[in-house]
Amino acid sequence: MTGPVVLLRHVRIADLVRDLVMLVLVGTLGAFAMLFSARSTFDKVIFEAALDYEWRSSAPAVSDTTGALTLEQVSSVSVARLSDTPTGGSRISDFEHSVDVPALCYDPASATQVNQLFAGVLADGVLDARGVTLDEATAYRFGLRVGDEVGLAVSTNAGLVERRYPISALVLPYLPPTASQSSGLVILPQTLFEPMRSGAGTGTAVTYTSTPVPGALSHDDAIYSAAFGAPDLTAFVGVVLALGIGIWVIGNVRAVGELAQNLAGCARTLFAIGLPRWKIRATVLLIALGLGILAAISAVAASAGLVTYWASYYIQWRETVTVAVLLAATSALVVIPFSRRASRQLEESR
Amino acid sequence: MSPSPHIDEQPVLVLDAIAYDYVDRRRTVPVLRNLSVSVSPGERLALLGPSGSGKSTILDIASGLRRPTAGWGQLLGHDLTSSSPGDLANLRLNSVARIYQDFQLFPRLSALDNAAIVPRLKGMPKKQSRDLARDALNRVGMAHRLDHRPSQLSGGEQQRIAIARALVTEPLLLLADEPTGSLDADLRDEIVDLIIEVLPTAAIITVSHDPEVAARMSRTVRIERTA
Repeated sequence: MTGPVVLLRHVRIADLVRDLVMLVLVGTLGAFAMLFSARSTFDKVIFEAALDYEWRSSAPAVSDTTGALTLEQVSSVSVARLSDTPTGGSRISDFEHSVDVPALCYDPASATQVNQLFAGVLADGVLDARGVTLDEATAYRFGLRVGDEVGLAVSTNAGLVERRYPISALVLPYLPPTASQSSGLVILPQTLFEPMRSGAGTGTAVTYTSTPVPGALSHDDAIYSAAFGAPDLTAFVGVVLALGIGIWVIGNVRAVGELAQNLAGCARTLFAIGLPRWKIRATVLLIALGLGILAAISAVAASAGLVTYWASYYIQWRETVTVAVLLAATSALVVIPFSRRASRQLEESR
Repeated sequence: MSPSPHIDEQPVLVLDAIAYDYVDRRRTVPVLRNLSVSVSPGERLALLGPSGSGKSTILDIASGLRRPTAGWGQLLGHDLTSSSPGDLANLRLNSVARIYQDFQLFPRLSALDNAAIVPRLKGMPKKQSRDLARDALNRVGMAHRLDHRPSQLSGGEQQRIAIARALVTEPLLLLADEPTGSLDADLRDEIVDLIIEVLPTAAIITVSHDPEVAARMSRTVRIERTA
């Protein structure tokens, strides 16, 4: 039985579980604040700030303003999930649930500009001429992710015209400029929309005239800003974030202190017998780090579920990982110097 | 006591003009002043003195657990004042054994695993370590308690496990702090005889209030407490 194993044998499991539960609780608070504050609804404020509206009576010509990007806004497209439905049908009209959302169409030749326009609010994937983009709230409603297939339908004089397309990207939840319209958004290239159009439909041309959406952040930027002091955090989120991170740090300090105290007698004897100091330190450090990382992962999983359930936000895997890494890194920053001090103290307290 | 000017064999331990102060945030408490002693292989030294006179601190310094505040020391050719903590830990593991007044056994390990800990830390295979530990426990009369944990044993039985742990790898220096304090007179004599028998060439330094134990040692050093 090696020295570290002897130390492990003397860890009080009940104390460790208590510390883990406490860390998960405070970590959930911190992770919730981080995930929540990293999200901002893709609302009309951000959207209108970057777009000029130009009403037209017919389908718009593409990019007829030099250097500008023109999008066509279609008043309503029905969206439904085309698999795993209660009735087992294959058409939107067969399904119990569908939602009508506004749609934006773009010229595939303008894909680069379109991606630039939506870069700040892109949640997952890339806008692609072969697929459609949904807002997160709509995707969440139907349990859809990038790569899934979605059904779109347009009501025409000839009846309901339906198509199914893969989802290539997701953008943040969207509230359209006019309150009377339902929320949600579908963005698709005109090549995909044309087969659904009945003759010369009426749309709204919206022209984008400047570079990326002002004030918008990529998700990673937003999470980074939330973790390291974003200036545009609301007071509530800021307080929750400060509380969460503060208690997380205190919880980690307390956990490693308890652990060192817990193992002090055993470690002193092992050191006196001849176990090198670094092995004692490494064992305390590894246990404390393991505790912090396990707590961080559990806390982020719990908070991601909470955010999804409470705010209907569509939490991406990489967001969960990013926040878990941030919490675990914070834990390591606290635990490494403190465990060093704690192990030195237990050797000196003979 | 000054170190011997000439000895046939290299001394196991030399302490020369050692001083030690306990330092906390508010004050410094002097514990030892001008201690000089040399112990040769096979020599048995009894340290006598009143409580608080620094006897256990001497054992700590002798094993490299504490660095003296002043003076110079050498353990098995290693400088106690300048060797790295890693070197001193290695020295303790391979050549020094300690019996504590409060036993310092591992509460979650059986008597057998407690006694086998030193060879295991040295990297000896589990079975071989346990065989050595079983033999040592047998010698101290604890063969019937191999699977018991310390909390299931009396004070005297725990002390015998601590002694078995110290004897198991036949150290060159044994540091014993009241090694027979929890034993009755018959068992005390038996255990002291056993220690001397098992470690005939080892240097032994024992702290004891028991004059019978001190009488079994070859030399006595009395530590005085000054105002």
